[in-house]
Amino acid sequence: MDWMGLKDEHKLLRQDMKRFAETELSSVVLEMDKKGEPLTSAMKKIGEIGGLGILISEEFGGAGMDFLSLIVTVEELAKISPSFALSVAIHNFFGEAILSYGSTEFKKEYLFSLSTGKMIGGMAVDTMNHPIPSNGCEERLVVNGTFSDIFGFSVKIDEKEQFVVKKKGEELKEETEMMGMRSSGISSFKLDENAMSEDKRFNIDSANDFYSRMRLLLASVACGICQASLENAISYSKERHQFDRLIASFGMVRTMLADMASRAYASRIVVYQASSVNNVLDREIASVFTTESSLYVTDKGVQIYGGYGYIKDYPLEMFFRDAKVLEVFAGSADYRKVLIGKSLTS
Amino acid sequence: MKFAEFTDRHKAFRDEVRGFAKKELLDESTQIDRKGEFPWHIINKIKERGWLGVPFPEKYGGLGLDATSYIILVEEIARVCASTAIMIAAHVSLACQPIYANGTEEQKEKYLVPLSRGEKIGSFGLTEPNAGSDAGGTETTAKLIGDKWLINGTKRFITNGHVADVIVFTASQDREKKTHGISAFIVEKGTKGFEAGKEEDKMGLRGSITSELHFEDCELPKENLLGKEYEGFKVFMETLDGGRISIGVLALGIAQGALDYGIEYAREYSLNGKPLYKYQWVQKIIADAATEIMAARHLIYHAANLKDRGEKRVTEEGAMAKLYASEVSTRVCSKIQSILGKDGLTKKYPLERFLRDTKLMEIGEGTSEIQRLVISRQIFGR
Amino acid sequence: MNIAVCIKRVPETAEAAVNIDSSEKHIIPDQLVFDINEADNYALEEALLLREKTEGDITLFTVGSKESDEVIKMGLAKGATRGVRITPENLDNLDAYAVAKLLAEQVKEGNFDLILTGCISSDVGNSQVGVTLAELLGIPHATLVIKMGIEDGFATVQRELEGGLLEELKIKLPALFTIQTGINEPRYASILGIKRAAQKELRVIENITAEGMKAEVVKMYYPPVGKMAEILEGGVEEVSGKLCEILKGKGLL
Repeated sequence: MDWMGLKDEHKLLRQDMKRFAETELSSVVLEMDKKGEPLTSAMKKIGEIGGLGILISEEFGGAGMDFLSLIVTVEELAKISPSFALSVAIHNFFGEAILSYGSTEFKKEYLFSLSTGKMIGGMAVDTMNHPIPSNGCEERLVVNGTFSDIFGFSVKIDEKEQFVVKKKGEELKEETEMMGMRSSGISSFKLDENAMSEDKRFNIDSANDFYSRMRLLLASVACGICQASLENAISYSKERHQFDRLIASFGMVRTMLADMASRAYASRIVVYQASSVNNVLDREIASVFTTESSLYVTDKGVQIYGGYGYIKDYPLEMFFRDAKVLEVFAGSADYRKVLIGKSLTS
Repeated sequence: MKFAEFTDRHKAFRDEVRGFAKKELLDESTQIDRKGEFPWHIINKIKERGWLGVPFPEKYGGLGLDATSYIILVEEIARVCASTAIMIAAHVSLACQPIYANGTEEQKEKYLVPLSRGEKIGSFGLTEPNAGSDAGGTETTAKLIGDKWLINGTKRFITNGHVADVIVFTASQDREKKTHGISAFIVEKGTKGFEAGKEEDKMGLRGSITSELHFEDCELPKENLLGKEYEGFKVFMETLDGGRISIGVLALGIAQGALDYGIEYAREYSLNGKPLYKYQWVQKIIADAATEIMAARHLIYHAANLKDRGEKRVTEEGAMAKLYASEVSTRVCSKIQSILGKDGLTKKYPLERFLRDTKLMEIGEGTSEIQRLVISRQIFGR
Repeated sequence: MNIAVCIKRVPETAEAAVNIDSSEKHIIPDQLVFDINEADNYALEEALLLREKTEGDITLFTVGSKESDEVIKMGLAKGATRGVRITPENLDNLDAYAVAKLLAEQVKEGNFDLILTGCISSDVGNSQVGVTLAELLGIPHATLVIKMGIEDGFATVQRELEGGLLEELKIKLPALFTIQTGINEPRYASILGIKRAAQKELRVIENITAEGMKAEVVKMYYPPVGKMAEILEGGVEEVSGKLCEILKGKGLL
């Protein structure tokens, strides 16, 4: 099922990225997930074809395409490597943040390097707060932290949302023990005085709008995971024989596939739709629904693979872990639902 | 229906195991997962306590306790370290139990005694690359040639695989006869033609060993047949009746461990300056988890109690317990992980390990879908 | 130098299950994924590489349904100048000759120095359209080209023959070459290229009827499942012994 609002350019992008992912990512993705290393050479390659400056306008060396174009790109890459897709998404979004909030001088200095991939940007994705010990210090998770040259995070200073940009320094610690998204170079830092020194700060006019777009990008990764898990489960069920029959012929497997497909289709449409209208609530609903769906779909996918879903020889095992990370990353889904409920009633 | 209640002896045993798990295992469990190595040092301590033979009579080297005690053991260990717990479960309910139930006196002397004492480690070879849910589709073959069995084939996803000294396994004497062509056998490590193969790189339970087993023209003495010829299907179906309760209680233990941790975390951590436990969304997760775990607990201990009473087979009750507890556990672990936020995503906190570990419980010893088939067959009489 | 490249949209059938419709003449496209024919993609890349060295236009031609626009547009995104899609009313009944004839009518007006096609299509696999087109245009051709260079109105091409033997030909332009897979490394479209593709010219030729078909599909079907496999059981030695006997019995050993 496809969304009616896709233009030719989105379809072409999807096809181009499909080929890119299958050629550049599929042979290395499982190995790099095990090692917890980023796919840096693929990052370089996608930079060469302009995949790192999708949202940046042509005057700064980017392609100046719409947000849906980035969504489609990320979704397609995520079908093979959710980690890589996340890295690409966050880099592009970092560029857009500079474009939207940065000073003219700052834009001139960084945007060309960012849009061509000469410089990699990272960003803290946990815009929604995470729990901390009472009296503890807040910590942030930065995607692309290990291999970026520059990174940003948002913080409230004097009741105003600010976007803080820093050159990468020693305060970033590599998170080597992440459950999933192990090739996204995730790092963390403590939000103390040190973190706030020697930086550039820009005001964010509409913080909710900004964050909801980032969360929708995470949802597009989840959306790719949904499609890929479904496709994998379908082909596996058409290959695997048990009781002298293909497992695809069993009613219980069929209902699982139907449940997976319903959520995968719905996720895609709700994400595309939300990326094309200017509505924060739509984006929040889309991103919570899709990240939860991806966990559901991968869980069922693992189930259809049985023992083979539990081992690292097949991608379902990785998809499951990656999906769980997405669901929690930008704030727990359950917490975000409370906020959605609040918006719906205010 | 009368629900099972713990006797004082059960309670004392539970407290003993719980104390052990807290003292010896709690700090180790993360390390066991990180290293992904079989925790010999822990197993040795468990063996010294006689816990590798909990439900077997003393004359066979066991502790002479009941099935409920064994289930208590697995739960308490699983609350802390599922890798260790599944090692025990595979050893006791999948290797010792079929020998105890089907073995000759000589076989019990020779195999069950050292297994119960923990001098040897046991394993159960049923699953094959092409025979997972459909164990009747066993492709490993056994041929009686003179007074020797000639075994050929491959087993896969075998818990304790290459650390096991004694392996109970199934092979087909006549593939045409499907389930009625299968017999059960015992093989010892070091037998010529038998070898443990590739070790699986798994999502979770990384301290437990899962390997392939290869038989290539492996010759076994005639007396290594377990039970009667062509009755292997019955041997493993009965073994799985009890095995399912073990997997169910493993899931229960993991879920309980997750809940315990979640409660503690919600008390001590705050979100936006407000303690987590004061949020209704957190309260809902905790309340649902506690309720579902309670329901699962009743199913599990009911099945164990029925087994102890020995009045009937526990096929249906075991399947229900496993089905429900394993699905509850995945749900509970995942939800509590969400309470922890990003702390739920790294090994510094145990929740992500709990989720990775518990996912197997919906797959191992019959997927949830197979459990549903087993239950519906009991209801409809096939 | 002006280059024409003939490309085709084909289903990816290597790993997919292909079903045949009730007419028994066509496959059911619903569940299949379509893309540019693999060899055509190499031909397109060869044209793009040549154009990087010499000035000129690349025009893409395809005979196919409206859906074929997607392979043309991808070609435009990669850098081709314009596209032409030919959709005759009797599209479903074409043979290789008719396709070549439709192409020839359009290509001959373009004054091309070089015409490239893939060496074979992965769906019907005739390898005929390229050579027939060359004949209809009255220009020389070379098939299965694995290397190509252009200088002073001549092309030097390498062809791979049986047994690893190579043949090098010098051919006067204009000429047509059918390109073997592996000759280069096809590029991805750049993101900016994709954005620009929408503004490029895509001419559609409709309301015509193809003529001159010489072959007709009577039926498409899977061969009946025969008892072709015999599974030998037993240990390694036993099985290999049995296998030897069977092979000897058939006079193969």
